[in-house]
Amino acid sequence: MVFLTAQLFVRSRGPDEFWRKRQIFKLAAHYIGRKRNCYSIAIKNVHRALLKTTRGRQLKKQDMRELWETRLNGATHEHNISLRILLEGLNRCNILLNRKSLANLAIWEPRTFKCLSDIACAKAKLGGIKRVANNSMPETVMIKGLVDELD
Amino acid sequence: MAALGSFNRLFNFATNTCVKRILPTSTNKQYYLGLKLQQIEVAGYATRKQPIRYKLPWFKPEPSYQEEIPEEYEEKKEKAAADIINKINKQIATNQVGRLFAVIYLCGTQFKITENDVIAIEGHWPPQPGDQLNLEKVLLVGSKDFTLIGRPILNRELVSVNATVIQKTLSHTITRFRMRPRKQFKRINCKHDMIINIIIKKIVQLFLTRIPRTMLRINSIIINGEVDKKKEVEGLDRIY
Repeated sequence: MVFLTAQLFVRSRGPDEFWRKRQIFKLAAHYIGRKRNCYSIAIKNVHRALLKTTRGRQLKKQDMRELWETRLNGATHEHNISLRILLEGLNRCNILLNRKSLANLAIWEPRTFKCLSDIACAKAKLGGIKRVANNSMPETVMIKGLVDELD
Repeated sequence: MAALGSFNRLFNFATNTCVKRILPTSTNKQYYLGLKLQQIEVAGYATRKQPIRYKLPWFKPEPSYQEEIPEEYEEKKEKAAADIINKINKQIATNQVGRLFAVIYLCGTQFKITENDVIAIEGHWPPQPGDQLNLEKVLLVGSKDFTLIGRPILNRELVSVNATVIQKTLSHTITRFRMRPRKQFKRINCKHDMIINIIIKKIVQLFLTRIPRTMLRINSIIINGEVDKKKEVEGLDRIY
């Protein structure tokens, strides 16, 4: 392209129309009907899709966290404690498993998860948390090893 | 007593100022020892008479988490625990533990793994294909009959998780696109958005961003030695 005047320089923007459209059509290749063939309709849908993928990357993380919490809530209520107690108890014991691995353990290793919830319950009871006041002290836990002493 | 003390202080102050005005300081020191015994002023660091209050009076005092062993605690439990640990040690010694699973901490994420698993690690990670690794941050190891839980990680000599890097690839193309309809605003993979990507060294092109992915094969999970036993010397394998 030769820009003889400033006016022409302003008019010419971006790559050639064909290539600009092809970029969009490439992304719309798997759409159905006029969405894939007509440019004005294709570009609308491509923009919508790109916006959703951008937002979806954050949403996926939030959704997964929510899912793990729901699963853990169900799993902990089987053992008469709540999710809060589980996380608080394990944190106080310095057992730093995250929600993902705890949820995995609850599904695939239920006996391991039972032990973890027992430990959390015992620790919470030792710490004097009110929510577990009515729970009995789990018999399987060695309480002597759990006690922390303040400096 | 308090009233007497305050009076004393007042008297002291009054006499001190009067005497100081009349007499030079040296005579003051000599003749009025009794005054000095009560209040000795030493030039030095400024000290507070009252300690600083960090807590506000209308707040309740923080509950203490000092934990105590409940009274009905039975000594029998310790014997039962010792028996269980013996059984676990016997299983480990005779190699009857079966297939172990573990929860490991790697690259900021936790993975639940067993032998022969392949895990994908996202982001920039230096190890190259063919590297043999010993994963040391093991949070938990379990078998069919027992589980060892780390606080927060297990002793690295007790458990060894061996792995091999098998592949380094890139993920699908990721586009970061922002647009406001009817406002003539459209940005795709602009520099400001991609700062995070550059930090973890993704490939950044005009339209293409892809996250590096590393495939890791877990070769073996082994428990070495006996559980609940403290060695005399540890960490001899690692002298630099």
